[in-house]
Amino acid sequence: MNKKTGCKIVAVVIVLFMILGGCAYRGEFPKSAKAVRNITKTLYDNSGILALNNEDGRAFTDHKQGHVEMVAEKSLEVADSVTKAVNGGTFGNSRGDGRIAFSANIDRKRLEGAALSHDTGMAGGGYALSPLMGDNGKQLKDDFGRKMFEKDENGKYLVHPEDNSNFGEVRDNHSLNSAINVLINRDEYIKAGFSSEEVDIIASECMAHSKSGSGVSDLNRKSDWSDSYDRIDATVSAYNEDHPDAQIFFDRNVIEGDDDVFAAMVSESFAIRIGDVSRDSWPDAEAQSGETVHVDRLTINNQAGSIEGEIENIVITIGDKGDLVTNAKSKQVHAGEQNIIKNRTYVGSNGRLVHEITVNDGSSAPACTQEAINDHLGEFKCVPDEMFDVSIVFKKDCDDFSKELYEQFRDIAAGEYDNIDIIYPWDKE
Amino acid sequence: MEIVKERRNASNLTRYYRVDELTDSDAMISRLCDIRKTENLNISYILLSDLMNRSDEGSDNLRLSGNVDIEEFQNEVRQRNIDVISMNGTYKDKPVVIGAKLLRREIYITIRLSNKADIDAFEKEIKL
Repeated sequence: MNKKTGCKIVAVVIVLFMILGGCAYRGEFPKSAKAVRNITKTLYDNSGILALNNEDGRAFTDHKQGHVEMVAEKSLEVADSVTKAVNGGTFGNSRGDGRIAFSANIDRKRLEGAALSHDTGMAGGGYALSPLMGDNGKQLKDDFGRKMFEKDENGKYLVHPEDNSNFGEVRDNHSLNSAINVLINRDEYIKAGFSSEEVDIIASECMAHSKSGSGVSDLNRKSDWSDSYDRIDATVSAYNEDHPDAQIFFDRNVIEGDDDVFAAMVSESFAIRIGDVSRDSWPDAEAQSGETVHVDRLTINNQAGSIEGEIENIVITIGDKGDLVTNAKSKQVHAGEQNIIKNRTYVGSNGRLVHEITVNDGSSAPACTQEAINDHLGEFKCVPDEMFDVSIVFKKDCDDFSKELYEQFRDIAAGEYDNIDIIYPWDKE
Repeated sequence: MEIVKERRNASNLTRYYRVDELTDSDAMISRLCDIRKTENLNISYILLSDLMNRSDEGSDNLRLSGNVDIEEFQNEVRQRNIDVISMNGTYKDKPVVIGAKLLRREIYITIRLSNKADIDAFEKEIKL
């Protein structure tokens, strides 16, 4: 029996154990979690089908039911830490003009509902914003560095039906469409135990889970949220024009009109973002298409010192037939992400939130793994008023070469992310 | 040039400098390329990052060789949504990063405290 077959047998045994042993995600609020699962099931199934039939989507990392359940668990863990840190006075104290601080008043049921709903937009069939292009053919950015989109003469965002064959468009707009899917299913969410106002909040949190998709690049800046809601409003209008008999609405005043609600929603959105990036992975992890992705780690040039070098001769296969993954970005992502096996967030002894990332093998694909870690750092960058510790743990230690690469990674991150301190095991030596 | 912030943690020291006179990314890159010529400074690679627009599977960062010519350097930044540039290398054989935050008009130097470059001497030498 070769290693690949062995891994598949282990994966099947784990799945059977989960099904037969009743270990499938029940949720902290099983009744509402089950109801949300029923609302979202078809959408997540469809997102898998869409990816399977798309060259770009096939090897995209999993964003379906299994993923959102993990995000729900992780988000609730982050929420615990936020509550503890806010109550301890070490987090959420920096409210200034135009800013909204974090709150400890997190509604855990609502958070779980939003986490379970946050990726339904990957099913496609929704709406897309139109990128605003400059003369050089590059998408324009605003003063905050956010990508800009076309608006009409009244300042209203222009939206158009998305093209399901354009996976990039579906991906770029999936947070917006996850929000719209919540609003379309407002009555079902109310039946699941949420108030109508909470449906607006859940939609807002789904929208905000992606900083690039929502435009919320600073979670505590009110104007970012306002811009994000302009995008939802424009899409609601487009939907209503297309569906005169099934009108939907988004009541942004539920959030913008009440700072206490706003602050709770910001805390929940932060929890989802960190929960979302806390993807515990493993060898032969599932892709968005439902197929397993096998990274032959023996084909990685671990001593290359760069992403390009590490993946130059890498062999990554997908699906039962072992089709080769050829896209360089996919190769980098799977080589890196499958090396991150555990994530957790807690309050450290200094009162800061600590995000702990466990790397399986410190010497395997260090550059690709660091790029995956960068995704985690990016989420903390969206909270510039707070300081965070990111602790990297290695299940198998780094060799000297990789250790130096991780040091260089930290040197660069120190300047790029001025609200994050990275901690390595050898710092204590 | 004005130091706008100094940040020290357990591993690194970073000094940020305001460079308002550099009004666009081409000018900032040109300044970085001047710095690159400093004696005893060896740049091994240059990382171009779009930190504000990372999506689910990250952004299209680009790594350039430390001796990339200025036209290619400027062109790559123009063609991508780059907001941070990091030049990674050594000064007198000690690790340093010379970075630029394009939107904030800041240049910064980072040193590693466990293998400490002389940041005061370095900032003088590169006229920051």
